[in-house]
Amino acid sequence: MSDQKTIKARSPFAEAFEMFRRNHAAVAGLIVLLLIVGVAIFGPLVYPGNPFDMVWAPFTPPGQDGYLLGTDYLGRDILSLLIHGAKVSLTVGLAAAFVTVTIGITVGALAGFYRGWVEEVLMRFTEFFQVLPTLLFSMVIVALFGASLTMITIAIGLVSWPAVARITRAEFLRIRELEYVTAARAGGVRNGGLIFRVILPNALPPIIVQAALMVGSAILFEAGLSFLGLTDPNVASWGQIIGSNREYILDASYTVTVPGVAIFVTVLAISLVGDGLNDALNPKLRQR
Amino acid sequence: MTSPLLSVENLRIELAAREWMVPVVDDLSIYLNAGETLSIVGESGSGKSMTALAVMGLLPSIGRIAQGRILFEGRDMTHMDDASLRAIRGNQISMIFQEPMTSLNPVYTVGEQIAEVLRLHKGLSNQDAWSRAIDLLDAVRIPDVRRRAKAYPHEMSGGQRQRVMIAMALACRPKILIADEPTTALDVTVQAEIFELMRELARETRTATILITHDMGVVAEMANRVVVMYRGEKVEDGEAEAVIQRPQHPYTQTLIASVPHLTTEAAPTVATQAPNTEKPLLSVRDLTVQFPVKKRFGKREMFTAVNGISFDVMRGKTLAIVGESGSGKTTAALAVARLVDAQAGQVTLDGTDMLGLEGEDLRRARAKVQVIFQDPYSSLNPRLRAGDIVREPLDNLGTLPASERDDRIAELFDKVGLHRDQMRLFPHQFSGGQRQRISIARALSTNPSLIICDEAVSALDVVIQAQILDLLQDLQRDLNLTYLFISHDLGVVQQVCDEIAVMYMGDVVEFGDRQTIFSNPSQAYTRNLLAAVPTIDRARNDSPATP
Repeated sequence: MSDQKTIKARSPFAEAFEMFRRNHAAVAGLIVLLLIVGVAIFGPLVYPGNPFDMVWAPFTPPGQDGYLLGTDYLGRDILSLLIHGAKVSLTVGLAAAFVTVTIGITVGALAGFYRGWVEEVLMRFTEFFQVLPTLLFSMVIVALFGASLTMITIAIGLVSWPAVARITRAEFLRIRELEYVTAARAGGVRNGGLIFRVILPNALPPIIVQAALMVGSAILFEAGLSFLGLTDPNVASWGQIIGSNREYILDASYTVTVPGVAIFVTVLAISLVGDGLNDALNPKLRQR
Repeated sequence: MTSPLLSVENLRIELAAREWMVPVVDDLSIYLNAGETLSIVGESGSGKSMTALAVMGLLPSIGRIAQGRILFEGRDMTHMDDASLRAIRGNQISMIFQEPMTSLNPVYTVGEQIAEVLRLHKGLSNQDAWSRAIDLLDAVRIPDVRRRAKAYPHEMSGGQRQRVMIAMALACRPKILIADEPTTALDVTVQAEIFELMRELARETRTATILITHDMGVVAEMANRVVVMYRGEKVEDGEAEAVIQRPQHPYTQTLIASVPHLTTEAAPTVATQAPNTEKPLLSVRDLTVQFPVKKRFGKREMFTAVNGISFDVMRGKTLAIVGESGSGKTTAALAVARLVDAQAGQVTLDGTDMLGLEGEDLRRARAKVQVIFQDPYSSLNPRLRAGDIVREPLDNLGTLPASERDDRIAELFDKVGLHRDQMRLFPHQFSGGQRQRISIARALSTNPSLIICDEAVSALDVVIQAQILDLLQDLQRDLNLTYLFISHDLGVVQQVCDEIAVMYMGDVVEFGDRQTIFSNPSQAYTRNLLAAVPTIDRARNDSPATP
């Protein structure tokens, strides 16, 4: 064999990271996202106080009397609400995405790996969830089981998993026919090992992208539910700020605009990161 | 002598790779006269396809012509605007590609697609274009042409699709036809038919042909002149016959040495022993494999891929199963390894009834049969390091204690000619031949009694192919391995096997030792297969069209 110089071992994920780093929009999105996460974690320490305290006259415009973003209809500090809301909104987004991915991967992997009647049953089940009107269904769940943050997260997860299940199944259908899976079976790997250690790691890229985008849409979904009043009134999420001020949208538009911009920027940042991941993880887009 | 139809002068093609440009073709000069067939030969990555694409003005967006000229009838194509280039491309110079499946549009009938070309380039009316399309399909010997012209690409076989591609390429009576490995995706018998067709058409229409191939046997049968390329440079050119008889460059010599000679000498592998005194290692009886195709009115229809076949393999020997695609050879082998379910029959391996095994017993028995797969790009898990790929069977099936597995893997890497340091690398960091070595190491890891080589060298360049075949034979000698060697390539089979089973449509039509099959085949189908293999020895009897 030709004597090779010591080549560095480069895993597919290391190469993907290299690709991601070259995508300026995605890197910008990631920086913004990290800033928001930083605010969510450290903000309450830097800017303490209960956001629900009525601290000043209602409808104080931004910048006046030392309130950078003004106060809402009850005289609460919007900046404080925003900082505390960041944690809530991001947590809901991440947790809902986690629920989505867990259900989606389980259903999709089983359907795609075992085929036959397992697939028939699971995919009909998936389609059932897919044709439900998502907003209505989640409202029913929240109305029935109470408007706690946990319930809202579960409701969002329950209506969103079919997309992940379909992607996972499609990837499993493709990968299970590849020769390295047959080779692993010939090498005595059990079904569980085939699913989780051989096929799943190779199926992950599109699922990761979908999960990243899922975080963004879960934040939007929670905002939508809050706007309709289906929220935990004791927790300050961004959607809840918009929802509670919605009657004053014409008179004091900043009370709605400020949390709206926060949601917009966050979801945009997440989408940019998701797109960057998609480009980086999709080998077809990789040049060489 | 008049000036050549096409001449390429000092061509240099560069491709963008990350930050800099890498030359893939350098200082290449070739010419092509009207009516002759020029063959460009080389391994993958030698720049032969890039040259063809450059002549067509179809370089990928990351490539560019850095230097040199491409003169077609005295006009420089490298400085032409798009409009004049389009007038030449497809009209005066046309191309057929390797993969007939993806180069036809699946939503139009083949007749429509040819008529479309004629309408575009020749401005024919719908009716004229259609009748001319019929004529063309007839010229490429499509049977029952009026009906078949209305067929969609998926309704035709691979060979027929390639005929359609040729018809389409010839539609505008081009002066030059570029064929880029036009038969690589086809069976040998079909390949022989396509070449026969191309020879006839070249004679009739006096179209000059550039035939790109990696097979010197094809050159011998088809070309007037040959250009040998190696790593982007021309290393040799001349009259095909002269180059084949007296190759000057060492690379050309290697290429020619790797062309099969269908001889009948005794097998170079294991000395023949007294037959049938010992029990066979693998004994297959009446093996039948069926697949459900579709349900019609609730009834499940079955397709019989393997139709009750029987054969034996002795320990330390190689049985080759030969046949065209769809003959059931791979299915039969995978059924033996229990990677495909058999409906009926008996498979006894080393005293174990393979078909009777279930669950955990079956999983453990897998240590006895390992498989080397065809495609070096999909047979290795891209997320695992090379060492871990070889470790997989050891962890699951091996009897070695965990502490000794690392040594075993290192030893296997030595055996297959890889460096121990390469254990840390990932599959995409290896070349095709190296990947196949990893596959072999993985197959050896459990000390199997039987190794199935499923077209194990078909995807490799001829030179690499010869190296891997040598390795397989060395290993067989050293470790007394038994191979079930699946291949469509009789040239390859002849180098490695002791016995041959010829399969056709799910049946074994002929079974015998190597010598008998090659020197005295009893079945017409086997004779066809043999005659279709391009070789250097026989080529001159059936010389290419004279220019």
